Amino acid sequence: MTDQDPDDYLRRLERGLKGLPRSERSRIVKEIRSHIDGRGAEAMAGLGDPITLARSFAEDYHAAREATFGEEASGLAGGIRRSLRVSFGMTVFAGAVLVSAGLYFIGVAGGAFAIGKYLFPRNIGCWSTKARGPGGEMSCYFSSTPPVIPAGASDPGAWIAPLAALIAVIAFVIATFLLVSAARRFLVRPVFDAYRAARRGGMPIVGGAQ
Amino acid sequence: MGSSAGMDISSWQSQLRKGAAELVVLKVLAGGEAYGLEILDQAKSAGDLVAEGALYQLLNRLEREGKLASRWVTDGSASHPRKYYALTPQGARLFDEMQTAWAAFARSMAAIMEPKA
Repeated sequence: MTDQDPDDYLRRLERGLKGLPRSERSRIVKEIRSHIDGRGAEAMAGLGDPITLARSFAEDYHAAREATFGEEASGLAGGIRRSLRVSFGMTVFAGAVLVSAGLYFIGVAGGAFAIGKYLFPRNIGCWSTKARGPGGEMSCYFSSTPPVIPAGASDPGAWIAPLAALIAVIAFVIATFLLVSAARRFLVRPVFDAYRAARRGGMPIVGGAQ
Repeated sequence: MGSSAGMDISSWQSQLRKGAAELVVLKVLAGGEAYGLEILDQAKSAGDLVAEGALYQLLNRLEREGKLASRWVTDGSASHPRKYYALTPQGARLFDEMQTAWAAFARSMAAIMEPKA
């Protein structure tokens, strides 16, 4: 143990602290680094195996969190707070579902447009007369018979397909990210916390779920 | 039998140290702010009172509970900043209470351990 490299010791300690928040992790490593810096190899021998040390820090941290949660879980105020958190979370999640649905619609429309333009280039596309000046028009078409395009209108042609595909992909990615993040933060976490509180014998949550 | 009694004693001593460590740390910090190594050195100067591996968890816990406040200080003699701890008013109150309880406990122990005249 005594001929262990300090950097290696700290790396192993940090690896062992993986389950803790980043700020907590770096604070612990910084302090242990300072300790080793002051006493060298002797300090590492005194602190013991870095993985065991990390485990004790993690156990301590989780025990403190559990204790805080336990205090928060008890009493009428804790029950009301949790119920409000669940209701608020559900409302925000419902909003996120609506926005995501809109984005998915844009994604599907963009994807269909891109594929359609590739398969039926004359039936699908856009034209614009805006370049002529004020009063110009712009229109996109999706029809079984090729439309009559005004003379002099600019036609973006085939490149509209990759643009539509790009818009579709971006809309899908944003919608999925929004949905997953909102579900995690505003639905799963508050409901899980309330469930844990109910199991611990705290106040019942919405609808008296126990 | 002898080795089993030896193990019992070391486990009991470890429990005693664990129980006393908090008071030892508070006592050291009652003398002014200090960083981990200073606390350890002062504690060790009176005997094997605090285990090195347990010190930082104890400091962390006391800080989390609001008994200690801390600040990072970079001074010329060290290549890394040091975390200095100090008692908060809540910590100072706890120290007073623990000290009183300890004195009473020590008196009780002395009364039962010392041979009666």
